[in-house]
Amino acid sequence: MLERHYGAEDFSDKVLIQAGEGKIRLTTSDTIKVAEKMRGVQSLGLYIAKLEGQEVVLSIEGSQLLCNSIKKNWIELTEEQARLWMEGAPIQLDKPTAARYVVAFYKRLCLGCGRVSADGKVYPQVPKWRRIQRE
Amino acid sequence: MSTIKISEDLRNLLYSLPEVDVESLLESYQKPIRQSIRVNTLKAREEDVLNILREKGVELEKIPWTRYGYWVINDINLSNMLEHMLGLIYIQGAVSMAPVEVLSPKPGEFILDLCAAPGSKTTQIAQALQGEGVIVANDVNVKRIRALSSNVQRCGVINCVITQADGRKFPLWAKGFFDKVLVDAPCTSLGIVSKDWGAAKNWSFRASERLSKLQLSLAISGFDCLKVGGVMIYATCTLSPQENEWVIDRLITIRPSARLKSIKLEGLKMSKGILEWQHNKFNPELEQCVRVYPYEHEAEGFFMAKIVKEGDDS
Repeated sequence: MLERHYGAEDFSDKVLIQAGEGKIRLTTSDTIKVAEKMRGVQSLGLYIAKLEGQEVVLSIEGSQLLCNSIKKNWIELTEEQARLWMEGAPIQLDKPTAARYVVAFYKRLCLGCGRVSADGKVYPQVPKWRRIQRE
Repeated sequence: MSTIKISEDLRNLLYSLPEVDVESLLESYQKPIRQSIRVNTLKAREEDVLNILREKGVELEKIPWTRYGYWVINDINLSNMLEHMLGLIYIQGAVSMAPVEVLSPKPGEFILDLCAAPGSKTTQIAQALQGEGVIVANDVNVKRIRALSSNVQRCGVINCVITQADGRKFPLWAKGFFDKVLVDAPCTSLGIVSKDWGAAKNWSFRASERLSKLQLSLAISGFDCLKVGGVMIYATCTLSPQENEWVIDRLITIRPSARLKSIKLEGLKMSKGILEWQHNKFNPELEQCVRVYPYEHEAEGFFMAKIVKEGDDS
């Protein structure tokens, strides 16, 4: 699915686990072995993506891990747009796209996925706790 | 500048501590702690992050005792910066980076952070492991675990297990399991009074004594989770010998295989552990523990003990 949506390679040497509501976490086999021995486990590994039907919505970390291999469905932001993105504000696309989700880049940094709306805007999927305050 | 109010008990404590410059300490309580950051190399190359920050006008100076730590010289709101939210930097006190430097995690090791929230040291350990090995980050408080989870996520850590459990019970399922353990114990926080004046106003011998019993239980628990040959760091951000030297003195008495080791960190001004305090005479080995006072670096005050498990006597 990653190949189809973003032209990206997979996480071949790591382990992907499904953690409810279509959430995908990335971890290592050692981490799973240790978790099996522990009590009161709340979570393990890193939340990297959510499956929404046939779509893969990458988290900020998921997009950062794949940063160098994402080849399609991405947009480049200016510094001002990057700040707006991290505030959770929508960004107007320069040109239309058929993709439902795109990954945002600012310079060489990946800022996660945004949902493309029919009005030609991208709505960043930045969780509230990670949004920066408007200046 | 407002004047800080300190309890009568605290005044008595401070004047009972040998080698402490009480006037400097009280003065430091009224100044903000110097801002500092750790560059998170799990997300980007150190040099790239430094260049991004410098382009944005952030003036930095290397902290000598920690590999990726920098003082922030100018007054800037780091917590609202893109680089902070993306996890390229972690805002962390300069001296609070010291315990993990002393623990010295290596890729491939299994490490327990027994009182982990909010996750500054957990993410610092993760950085040292470089994705190889495993960290178990535990805390007893569910609200604090939310902050821990957020920070572990923001820093891009893949090899961490977050658990919610009473740290005193850990040996029931993890006895002798870990290569290294960090016990950054809950304390009366006399090393970070400038962040929380309530710590000074409400400090009492009774509260400190009560906490020391919990601290001792956590230290024993952490020690029992070590493999033979493993290393534990016990740290607090307080100055009371009751929560520091007393705890370690009891630990090495109860667990004879516990041996204290010396602590060396370049550029960090440290005092030796206290051997006599009030009616207590501690084991001379406790000289190997270290104390860092807030006035030494305009940073937090800390106590650290490095303990090696030389055999199995638990």
